[in-house]
Amino acid sequence: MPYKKTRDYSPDEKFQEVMSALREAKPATATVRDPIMEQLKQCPDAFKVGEILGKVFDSLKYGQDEILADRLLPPAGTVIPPLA
Amino acid sequence: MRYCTRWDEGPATTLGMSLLRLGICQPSDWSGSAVDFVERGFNRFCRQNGAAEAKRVWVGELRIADSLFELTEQERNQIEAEREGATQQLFLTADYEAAASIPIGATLRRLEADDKLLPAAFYRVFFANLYKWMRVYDYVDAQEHAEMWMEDLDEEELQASIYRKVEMEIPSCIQKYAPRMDKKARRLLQEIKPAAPLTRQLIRQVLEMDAHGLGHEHAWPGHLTEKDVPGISDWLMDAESSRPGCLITWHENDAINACFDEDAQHMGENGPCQPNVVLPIRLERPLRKLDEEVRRVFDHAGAMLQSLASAAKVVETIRELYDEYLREHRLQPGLPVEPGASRVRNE
Repeated sequence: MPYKKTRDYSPDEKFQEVMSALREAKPATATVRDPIMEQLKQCPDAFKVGEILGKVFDSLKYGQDEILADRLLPPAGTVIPPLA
Repeated sequence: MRYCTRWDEGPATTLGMSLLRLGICQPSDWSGSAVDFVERGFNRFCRQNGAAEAKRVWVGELRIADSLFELTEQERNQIEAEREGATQQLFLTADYEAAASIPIGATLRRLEADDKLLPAAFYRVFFANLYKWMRVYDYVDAQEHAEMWMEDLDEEELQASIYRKVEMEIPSCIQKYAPRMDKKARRLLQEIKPAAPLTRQLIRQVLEMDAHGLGHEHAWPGHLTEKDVPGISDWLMDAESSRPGCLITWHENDAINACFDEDAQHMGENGPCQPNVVLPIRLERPLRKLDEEVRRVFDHAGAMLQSLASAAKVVETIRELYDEYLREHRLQPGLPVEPGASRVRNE
């Protein structure tokens, strides 16, 4: 009974495969957009509100007032439902 | 890689392709992420060039990053949000978390016993190689520090001051026979054939260390131009000198050590400290040029790791000789046999 002939996987082929995977990854990452940012840009009012909230949270997160931040920021991993 | 965000994949793909072409990354490193791909290749490269051996003495990090200095998450997010497209530049940087203590006095005495010219030649070659990869704090830095502070002291204060001792403690074998050129010092080490096996071993190790670094110069951030890194002049103006990667003293807790402790208290007070080594990688270059640049950067990193691995062996011997000297010359009863507390030597 003949042995099942397996196709040798040449190092060159693997090299080319990885090179094209990297090549494909490059344009994909170059044009990557944050979907939330894109949506906010389409709605400037919401973007403005988000920007203000972002600044508030940043100042709480990175500022000195850690006690206040602990009180206002939800625990890590909490899922917050969208505002009504 | 310290950070891995969605912004890192872009530059990592370009660097990854170059590393794959150069054989530093291998196809088997691919796991679906360009950052991971580069990291695997880079880690293997470091291991192959003696990172584990170097780590025995040198506490620091060699990293590939898209920024010259540490950023908080907030600062990084802000920079990325303002940037048009992916970054076109990466940096290979080297920095040290602590200055490795090298109490070299006992070693110099041992070398002098074989040949009066050996200590200065050894010191010169050892120092010259280390200085290619780090800021070295030694008696010259201590002299500068002491001169600055002695200006304001009156005669009585001067007599009691530690600063006077910096000059007084320089061994005569260093003062008298210091070769003016690295080349001359190297030739001396190659020509002198000492009788003692330990001296021969030290010379062999320091020449090995020197050989790894031949052809390389220190890649200080100060060598970068505006063309290399836009805005570098302003950044350098605001940044402080690099933190020393090692402290060469005659013995622990001597006058050099005292000056270093005073200097170290104020390091980084007026701005971020510059990294010890910075090598830019410009990703927008044509393929051939990019590969040449990546090859040059990795050659430098390899030479650095190999030198520091050899230097670690030299430093370990220097420390052994110092410990031996301490055991033989305990001056005061009750003085610990092991070297005294030092914030830079992790005993």
